[in-house]
Amino acid sequence: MRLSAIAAGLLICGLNASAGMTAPERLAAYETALSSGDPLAAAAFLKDGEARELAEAEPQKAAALLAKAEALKDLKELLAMPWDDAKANQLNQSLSIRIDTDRPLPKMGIGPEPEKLLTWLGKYQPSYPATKKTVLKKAIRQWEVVFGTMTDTRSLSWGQASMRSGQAVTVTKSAWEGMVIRERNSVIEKMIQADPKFLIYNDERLAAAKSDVAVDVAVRAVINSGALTPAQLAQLSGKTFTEQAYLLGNFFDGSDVKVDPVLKAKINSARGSLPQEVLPAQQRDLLGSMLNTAVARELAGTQAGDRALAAFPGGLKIKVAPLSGGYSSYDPASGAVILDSETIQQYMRMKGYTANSLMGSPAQVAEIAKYMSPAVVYESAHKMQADWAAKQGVYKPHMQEDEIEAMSLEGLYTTEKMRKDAEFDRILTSSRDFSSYAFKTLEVGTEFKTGRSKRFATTVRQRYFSGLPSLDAAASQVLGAVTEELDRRSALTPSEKASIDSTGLNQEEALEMSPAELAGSVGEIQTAVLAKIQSDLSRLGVYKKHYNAAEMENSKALKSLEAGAAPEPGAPKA
Amino acid sequence: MKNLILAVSMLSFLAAAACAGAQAKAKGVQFKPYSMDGGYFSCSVPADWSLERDEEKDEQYKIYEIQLLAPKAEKAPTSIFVSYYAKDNADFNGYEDFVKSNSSNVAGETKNSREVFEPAKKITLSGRKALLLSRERMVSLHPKSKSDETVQLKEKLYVLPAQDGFYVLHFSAQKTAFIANLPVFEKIAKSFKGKP
Repeated sequence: MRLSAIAAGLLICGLNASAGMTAPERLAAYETALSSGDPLAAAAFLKDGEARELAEAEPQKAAALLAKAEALKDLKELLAMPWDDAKANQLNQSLSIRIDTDRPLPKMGIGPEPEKLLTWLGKYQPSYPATKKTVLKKAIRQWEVVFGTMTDTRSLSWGQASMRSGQAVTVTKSAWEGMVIRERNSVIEKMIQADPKFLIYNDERLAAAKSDVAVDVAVRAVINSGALTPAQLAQLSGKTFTEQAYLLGNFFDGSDVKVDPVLKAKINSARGSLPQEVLPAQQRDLLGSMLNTAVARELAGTQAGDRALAAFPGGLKIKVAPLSGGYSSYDPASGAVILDSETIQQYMRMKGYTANSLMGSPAQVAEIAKYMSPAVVYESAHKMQADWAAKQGVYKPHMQEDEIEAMSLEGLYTTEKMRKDAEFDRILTSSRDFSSYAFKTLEVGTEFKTGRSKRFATTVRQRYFSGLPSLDAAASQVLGAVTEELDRRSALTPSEKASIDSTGLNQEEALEMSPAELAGSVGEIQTAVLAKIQSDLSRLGVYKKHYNAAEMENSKALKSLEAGAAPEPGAPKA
Repeated sequence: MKNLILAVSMLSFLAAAACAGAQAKAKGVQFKPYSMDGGYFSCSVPADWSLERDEEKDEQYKIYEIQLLAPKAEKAPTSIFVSYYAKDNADFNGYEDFVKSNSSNVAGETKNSREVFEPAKKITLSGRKALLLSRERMVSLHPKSKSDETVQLKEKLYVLPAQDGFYVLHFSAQKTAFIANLPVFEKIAKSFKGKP
């Protein structure tokens, strides 16, 4: 009690070394204050080199303290951001990865029940603005915000369950209050299926709904244009919006329907592929190998492209497959870049290409290679990161820094290609109004060209990937779980320890895990591997050196490109 | 689909109403003085905006800057950067390079269906020669996922050449928050003092 009071008093006054406390006294005070989640103590501890050095005498304790302090610092910075009602869902995502059962914050009383965050805020940040507190309540999905204050029970029906059949699922306020944010989000996802008013809790689903509305407007415009025959109109009658868009694509393909080409392109890009436009598995494999050569040709000779190619010493390895989440991905197991087949098929629909025409036309393959080459550059950076981590033998979860590096390399590539390759320019600019992939590729290029390396990093952190942990935040999440498990093991008998170590997950398996997987599986990982991960994440300088070097290389490349650029003839293009 | 359209329309209306409310309240901002160590610049900053600085990165890039974030923001932050780009900064070959790069998109265009870049205008700011850049762009919030969520971003930049480098004052906000926060930016700009 006395120690806690001393700690609180000294730290709040901003005094530490100069206050006359010895390093051991300060360390003891930090331990006490951090156990209750004191953010001022966290900041003071992180700056107190002497106390941190002293803590290193017990590496377990040092790592646990560091994890707590980093987590508190990260939370304080997160809450200080300008959250508004419009960003509540973004804040929800950021909090859901930080406040969960296996994270450091609940060990300091901040969770796992989300409302504990409000209690902590009241204690340590009593002057936190009321407007932001309201946003916070929406972000943690407080019962009263989601369901109102008039009820403490909510019945839901989805899937096979229905209220009439007595199979509806009932959520009570008390059960809700026992759920972590992740669990609350899962329930809300089910609610969205039953009631569109819950769309406000998922920005991406809301945007998709708005996009569907835009296509629906285009479908209505074509139907009302007078360009369709009575037989065609009869076919469309009574069909769902998705079916109508598909059928219209068929009409456009098989006859000369005279409607605005912009409406045609909008519907063609949004509709499902016709049978002849679908790339079957065998043709996807073939296209992947054709793209290896075509994309390599595309990348060669540009600064970013050459670096991307260097990541594949044995030659590019591209696969074409359906991806649900994005336009591309990197598969560390096979070392291949996977390009989304639907994104390619959408381009084919816009251009009127079929699977057969593509397979027989090197020119069409070259066009697809140009179109998808920025995605290959982006994924090549992820390959470099995976290779670097494997070479260093360090644990490297997916972090904001990875996205900054990968998107910067892509931005550099797009900037250079747009300047030097007129066909690349034409393909992307002519597609951007109908393809979100093309629009976004150009946007990343514009952001990198205008902001350059330093400002672009801020854009990636704040606008594109604010829900992804930074290196510091990811390290603190994993470090807390690992350190606690190592503490627990130190109390086990040698035979118990040997049992875990003989059957536990090895280094190769552990290094492939995401921070959430790793934090949730620490009990099944070999002790030596946990100690290694603890050691890796306690020395962040190794990671920072790698990312800083990549940032500066991208910065230097664009600067030299601009310095060497010929003066633009006349005014910029309008 | 009709229900969905109705729901989406109502949500859009509610969002617009919320934005209008936010604009009405964004007045009466208190300011306090700020002076960057090293004597690079000083200016007034809004007291209730959060101020961020990464000194390590500043040194790495030789770009010394603060970012001010409005307490109320849209999906894209309402933000003001006050930056000093040293002569040997890592990103730009002088202010002309900055102005040229920020006057068009990656395709070299100044206007299309989603973007407008106004031509650079010569102005005087607090007795110094400066250039004004203005632009408006629709930007994606999730460029790497298939989400089509976008926002309309409006930006205003003052570029001030200096003997050893240049300064940039950069205001960026979603269109719905731009007008309400513009006076804050102008007050910072008027109070700005940098190296000659």
